[in-house]
Amino acid sequence: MKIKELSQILNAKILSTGHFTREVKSIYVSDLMSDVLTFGREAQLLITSLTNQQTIRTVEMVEIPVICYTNGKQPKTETIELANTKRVTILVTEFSTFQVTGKLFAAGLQG
Amino acid sequence: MNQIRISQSVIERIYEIPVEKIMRTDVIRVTPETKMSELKYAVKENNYACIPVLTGKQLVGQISIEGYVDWLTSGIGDVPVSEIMDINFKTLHPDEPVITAVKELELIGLRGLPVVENESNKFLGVICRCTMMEGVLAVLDLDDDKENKKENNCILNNIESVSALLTLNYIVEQKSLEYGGEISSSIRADLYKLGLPGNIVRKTAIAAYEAEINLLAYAGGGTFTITLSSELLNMKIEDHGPGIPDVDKAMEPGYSTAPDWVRELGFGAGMGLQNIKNCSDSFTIKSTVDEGTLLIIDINMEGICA
Repeated sequence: MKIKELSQILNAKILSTGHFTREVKSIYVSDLMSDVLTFGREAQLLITSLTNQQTIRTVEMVEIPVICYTNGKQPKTETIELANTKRVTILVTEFSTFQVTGKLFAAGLQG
Repeated sequence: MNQIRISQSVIERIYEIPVEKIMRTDVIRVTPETKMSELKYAVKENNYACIPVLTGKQLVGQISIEGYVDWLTSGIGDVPVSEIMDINFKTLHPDEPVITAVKELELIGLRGLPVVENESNKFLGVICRCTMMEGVLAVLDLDDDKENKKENNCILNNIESVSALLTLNYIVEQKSLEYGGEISSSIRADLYKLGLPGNIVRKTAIAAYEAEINLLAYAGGGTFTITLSSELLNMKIEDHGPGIPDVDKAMEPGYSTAPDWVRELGFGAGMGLQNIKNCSDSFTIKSTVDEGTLLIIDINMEGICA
């Protein structure tokens, strides 16, 4: 699924473009960055409600190109700046983590 | 000594970099009249490489770190530098390629060499082991091909005596955990710049990041030393923090002593050490309470080259 399509489904705002043309095939959901580092290595999208700079550092290390913040949580300017530098796409959606996961699962993303 | 596998294009660029581009020019210089006891500061400031001795702009001698140590232990009094300095020693010219410098350093076993102008013997700077890598990376950075850096082919290269080139040092200074990851990010970028394959870089970056978070959360900072050889990437992570009372327990998945402020950042789940171990092919941890912790990991390079 293209990021554009994804952002439409989630009615998400795009705060940092990053690799906007990337295809998302696999998703990891967690607020625990330790878990993302351990188990999230094959994903192309991280869904989380944690919005600090460490989320960007974490996806940088595991090379996840897209991050989606849930519950309408607005990341701080520093986080967005870091994402721009590291070319990470940031999406922000008003939906809860549970709703986001459900919607994307229903849209055919199952991993 | 070792063969290393880094991409051919990077190697070619390293060959081409002239000494003048990576030499240190801000080293401390002394005159023949300077007293030996005054060199203490210069020794450290010059990265334990060598201290050039100048008359005007002319290089007339040098004090190597070995020479300085010999003087310290010899019991000779506080004599002028001119009585101790080496007069016959190897120098480099600014247009010589870096690889010559590396070979000379290995051959003579010194930590640094002065650079002088070809004819006039005018002093220009110093090539020292510990900042050489930094210099090379900075030059590579300038003409870095942004998009293609990950796509470098991995080719077996046979360069003798390149060990001085392939040690990378990083210092994690104590600051807010919020900034954790800056050093791991540099490590990751530097390894890609050297043309290492993605899977090796990724494992190293993840292990480094977990370790960096630990250094900031518990130890008040520390150091990373990465050594590359043909067989493996070796990473040492050292701190002088409080140490771990029960290492076996700390290794158990889920065991954590993390305070809330660490957990709030998304860490402290007791997975860190285990994850570092998972990323590595060999993992050693030594910890002494009140002294600090040393973590040594190896990541095999075997099988990554086509």
